[in-house]
Amino acid sequence: MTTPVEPAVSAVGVNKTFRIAEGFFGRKRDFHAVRDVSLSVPQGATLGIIGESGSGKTTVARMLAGLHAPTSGHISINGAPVFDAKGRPTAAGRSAAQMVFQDPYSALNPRMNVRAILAEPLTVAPAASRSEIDRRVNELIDQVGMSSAALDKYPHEFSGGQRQRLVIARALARKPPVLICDEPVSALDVSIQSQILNLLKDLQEELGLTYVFIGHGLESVYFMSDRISVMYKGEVVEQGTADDILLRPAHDYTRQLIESSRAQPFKSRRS
Amino acid sequence: MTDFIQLPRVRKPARAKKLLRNIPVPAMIGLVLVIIPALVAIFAPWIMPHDPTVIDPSKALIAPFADAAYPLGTDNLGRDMLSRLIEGSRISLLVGVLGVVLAGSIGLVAGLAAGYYGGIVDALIMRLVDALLAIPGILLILVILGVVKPGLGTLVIVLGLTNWVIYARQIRAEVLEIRERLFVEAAKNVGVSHTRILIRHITPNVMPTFIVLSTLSVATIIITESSLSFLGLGVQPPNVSWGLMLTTGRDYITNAWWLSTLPGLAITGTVLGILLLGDWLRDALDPRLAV
Amino acid sequence: MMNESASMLSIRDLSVKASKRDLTLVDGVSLEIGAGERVALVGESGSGKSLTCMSIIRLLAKGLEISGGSISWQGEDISHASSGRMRQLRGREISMIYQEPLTSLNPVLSIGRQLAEAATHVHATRADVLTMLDRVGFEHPERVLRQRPHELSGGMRQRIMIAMALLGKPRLLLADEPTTALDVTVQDQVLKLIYDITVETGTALLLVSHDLGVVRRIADKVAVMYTGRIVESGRTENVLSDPRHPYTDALLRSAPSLESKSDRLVAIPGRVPTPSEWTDGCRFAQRCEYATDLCLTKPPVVEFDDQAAECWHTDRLVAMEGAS
Repeated sequence: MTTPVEPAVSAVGVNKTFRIAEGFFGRKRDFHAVRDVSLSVPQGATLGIIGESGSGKTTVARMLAGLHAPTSGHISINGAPVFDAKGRPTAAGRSAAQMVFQDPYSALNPRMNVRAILAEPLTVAPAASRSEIDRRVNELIDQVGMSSAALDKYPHEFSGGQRQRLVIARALARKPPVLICDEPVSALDVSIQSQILNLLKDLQEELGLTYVFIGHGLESVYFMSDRISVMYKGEVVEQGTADDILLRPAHDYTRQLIESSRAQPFKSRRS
Repeated sequence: MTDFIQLPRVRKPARAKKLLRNIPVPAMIGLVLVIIPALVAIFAPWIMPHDPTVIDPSKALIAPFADAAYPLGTDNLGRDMLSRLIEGSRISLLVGVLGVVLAGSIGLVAGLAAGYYGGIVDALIMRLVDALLAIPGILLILVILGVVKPGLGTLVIVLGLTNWVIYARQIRAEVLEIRERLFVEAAKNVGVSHTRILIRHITPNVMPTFIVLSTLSVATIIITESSLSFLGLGVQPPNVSWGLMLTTGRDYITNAWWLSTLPGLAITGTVLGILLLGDWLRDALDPRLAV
Repeated sequence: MMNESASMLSIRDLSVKASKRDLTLVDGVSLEIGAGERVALVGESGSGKSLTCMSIIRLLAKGLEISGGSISWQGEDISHASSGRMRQLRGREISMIYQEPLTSLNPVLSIGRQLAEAATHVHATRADVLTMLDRVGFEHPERVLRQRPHELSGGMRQRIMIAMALLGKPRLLLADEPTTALDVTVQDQVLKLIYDITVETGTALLLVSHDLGVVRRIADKVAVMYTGRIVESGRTENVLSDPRHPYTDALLRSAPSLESKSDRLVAIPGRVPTPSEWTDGCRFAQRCEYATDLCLTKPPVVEFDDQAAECWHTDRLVAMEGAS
């Protein structure tokens, strides 16, 4: 008899409501960005979240990463809650799920060199020793396929794809079990996107990571994910295995999405 | 990992060497215009041909280039112009630098705090800034100096206290923009403390603005000091400053132009040099423009 | 490279340089667009596709200039035309829509005001404007006139841009990544609109994009650009199903698809060289699996049926197709 293993990521009944001031005199209104979202990701698997802008997927990602507290609901990583009763991120919540950001151009401090950028997460308590940090930094740069010559350079000396590798390296610094990838390749050139997606898959295999992958296009989400949740206007309207979603879509929005992604020519040309 | 990534070929000579290698012409001019007064101020005691305070009515109002012993002429009390210019540089530059250090320190801290923490800290600081900005600078200075005895120390303090607001406003605006950037969020995500974020992430990115503001401030402060001395509220005799020299020369503009013109040129040249240098320095320190 | 008969827009050997840094950003591009044709310029960042498009109506940024070649519009050389002539052309014969409608539209003015501005320039009436708004899909055109850009969604704003661009009944519409900033489902709707409207009015289209899916949807012909040059061109269905240039082939293969779930993508190694790294020979060689010493010199253009590629080793690709 095997003991049940905790899902790597678990969200139950998560809601996020923002108060927005409307009009000149600031009439307050509630904006329900995320409504009653529940999801669960098994160890070592990838959950893809797809939806248009305004669907709440980015807000969900931020909550999972410990950046915003949910208005209600419970989020845990490997069984440990991400937020305490007061809505503040717990220590585990801060370090368990790391975010890989969409924009490699603003995700790195232009005035810090790569070594400093990668070392920074390691200097937060409990801080590692100088030599441990050096060793880890070299390990990280190698893991993302770049040479140690990169360590003394500054972000602007790298291309978009390379910067994204650095963003990933930094996210891995403290060996988090979970990575939340918020459209990690949307800002990159097409020919580079595949390199980064491959890298993410390689790292997942090598390090046993669990991913939550927010995607822009269905193709990349389908490629990366074992399971997919489709979000629309703040709610999860459909979820299932990647193939389930693709071959047996139940919701209108999902069907529309698949149709648009098929990219058939509008009309057969006569001339 | 199979993909080996070719790093772009980037020449990387030592920073200092690179800085000095490609200095554009305006910066060169700026450098010269600033170094001369700076050196003069430092080596003043050794290069002054005469004692700037010695009065000799028999030698009054000698024109420049007329007498070898007084190459830039003398003023109405027979004091050597060259020596007075040299001595004046010390005070003018000292006041300028100290004033900026004071104003910059207060302004930087205030701007960082207001921009980063927001809320009540921001509200308090900005109301203070608004209040100070609402009062015309000169008026404020005059009021203060009317109450406290004029002197070098007072002068520096007053100039510092009236100029910090400019920094605070501008830096706060920068901080508001920078703190939204992803790399700050990433640092917070990892659990980096606020203090460290301010020091490591926010401040270095605010530096270009700070530098430009500082150069403008030095310029403003030197000119303000000159105005105050002109009005008799700044540097007091027997101390010498360029502003004071301007005052003295006021009555002699028609018959002895050099009394006011020479210090005037000194002020203009120095201020121009600082501005040019500041522009270049801001760009030179930006790692993004270094390639 | 493309069929030259009856073309309205003819670009021959166009070069664009960044004058200050002496860098060539568009390197000898030739393109023909016939009446009513829909042509796509596809490429990644740095390929020069946007610059090529901007050169047509001379909207190059400061510091950039046309350094060689020519652009002819209905027989007239417009690469050296006066700015007065260009102003006449813009909006009336050749129109352009951009990627981000929020920045192209003035946030403080109402839509009506901005459309009025465009209408005046092309001598269109209010009735024309309302008809156009209806055509681009607004149910209540009157209401739209009173709104401000931020009150509308991205897709709606882009429809306004299309309306504005087509008011003057141009013969050619230039579209620079018109759907990139939009959500996938909205992208589709806007693309369909562009397609339908250009077919209806017989307007030719030059679409600049990095998205092969978009190209497949809407373009008759496509030119693939890489590092300032056109590396392959031809009928869309030919190029996309049967590429003759290794770059096009690699691009198509590296994209994740919905057809099958693969474990890894066939990624293109290396990265796109920056303009200062461009050589005279084939610029894709360093990333290409078929590269040989021949590639150190500029490859010839090899012509096929309705397709052409600038490569020394097109035969290798044909061989691959045969094998699979």
